Amino acid sequence: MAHWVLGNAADGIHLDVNENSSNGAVSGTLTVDGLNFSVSGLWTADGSLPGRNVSNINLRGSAASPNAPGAPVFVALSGQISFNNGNPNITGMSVGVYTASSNTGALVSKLSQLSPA
Amino acid sequence: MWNLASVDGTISMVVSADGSGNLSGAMTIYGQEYSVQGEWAASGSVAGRNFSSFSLAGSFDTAPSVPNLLAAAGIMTGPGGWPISVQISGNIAPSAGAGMRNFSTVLLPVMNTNANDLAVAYGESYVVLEIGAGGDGLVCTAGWIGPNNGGQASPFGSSDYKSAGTAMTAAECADVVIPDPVYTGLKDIRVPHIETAATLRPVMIQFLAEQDHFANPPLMEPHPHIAKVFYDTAAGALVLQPIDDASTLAPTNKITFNHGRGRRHDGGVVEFR
Repeated sequence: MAHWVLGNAADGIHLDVNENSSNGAVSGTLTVDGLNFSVSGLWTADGSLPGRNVSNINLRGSAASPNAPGAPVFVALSGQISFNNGNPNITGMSVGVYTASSNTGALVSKLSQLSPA
Repeated sequence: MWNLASVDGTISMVVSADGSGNLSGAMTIYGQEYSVQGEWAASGSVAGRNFSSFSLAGSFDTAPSVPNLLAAAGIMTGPGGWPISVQISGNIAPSAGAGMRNFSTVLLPVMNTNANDLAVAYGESYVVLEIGAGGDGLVCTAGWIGPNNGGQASPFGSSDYKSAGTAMTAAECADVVIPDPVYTGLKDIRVPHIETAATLRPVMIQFLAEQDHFANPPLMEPHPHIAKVFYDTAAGALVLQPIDDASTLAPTNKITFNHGRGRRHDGGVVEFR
């Protein structure tokens, strides 16, 4: 079990999750433009099985809209992870992050490079 | 069921969206079929939900237990069971190597060929128009109006619209397709006036052609007035189901058929009278 905290302040993204190396489960909080999303998902580790040459991840979740508690904003993230000397020494994550609001109809896309925070 | 594809056919989804907010199904992206799961919220279902939005995640194994991991989010317009369009953005992260790939596109309805769905659509409709190709473009070749019930048209109530309804005369049919008064070369398909107390009156418009005459999706643009898109193998036609609102009688926006590989041609504008 490792605790990953990464972010990119300029892009408004902060990720704070726990991972379970035994099954690849990931859960925690993804903050996008100040909105905290509860997220869960999966990662696979570079080298853990033949053919896995890059560590990758996807997460999904939701948050209540700031203006309307009954109207969720949905989030999705997928990316590739880099390590120094293996998990948990995470050194970065290249991600695509997407939010879709049922309140405003906004669909936001961000491509970002996250660093340990 | 959300069954839509991008105009170029490279991205598609076949996803079940249930009343509890669960999404489950598949997305095919650049030839790879991802099993996907997610959540959606329906517009209007709760105060403040002004748009239908969703996110989903999924995977595709490029080799055994070597997954590409997908995540995407989007906005769906239209009824929950019959989306008019889906705007979607997402990213694919491979495990096998570098080369993440992101996408952002609009998905449009593909041709539904489910016999039960088609029967329901004919049964709830008031008019069926059969449009063929003549020397001057589109031409009305036949039409049927729902059964007369005390001076008012009723829905066909059956997929056997030819028996349930009344066939239009040649003169009535000749008045259906006319040149658009504004756009040279464009045709208007004018739905005959019908007397009915119903506010919303679905119409089935058949465009006679082999199924492979059309790409999937068969239309190039979203159409807020066109709820359902079918291919009817019995009729040998692409079938669109516009629904008019008797209070506005607003025409559809211009329909453009998608023939794939960038080919297209005008399919006219549907007007209600």
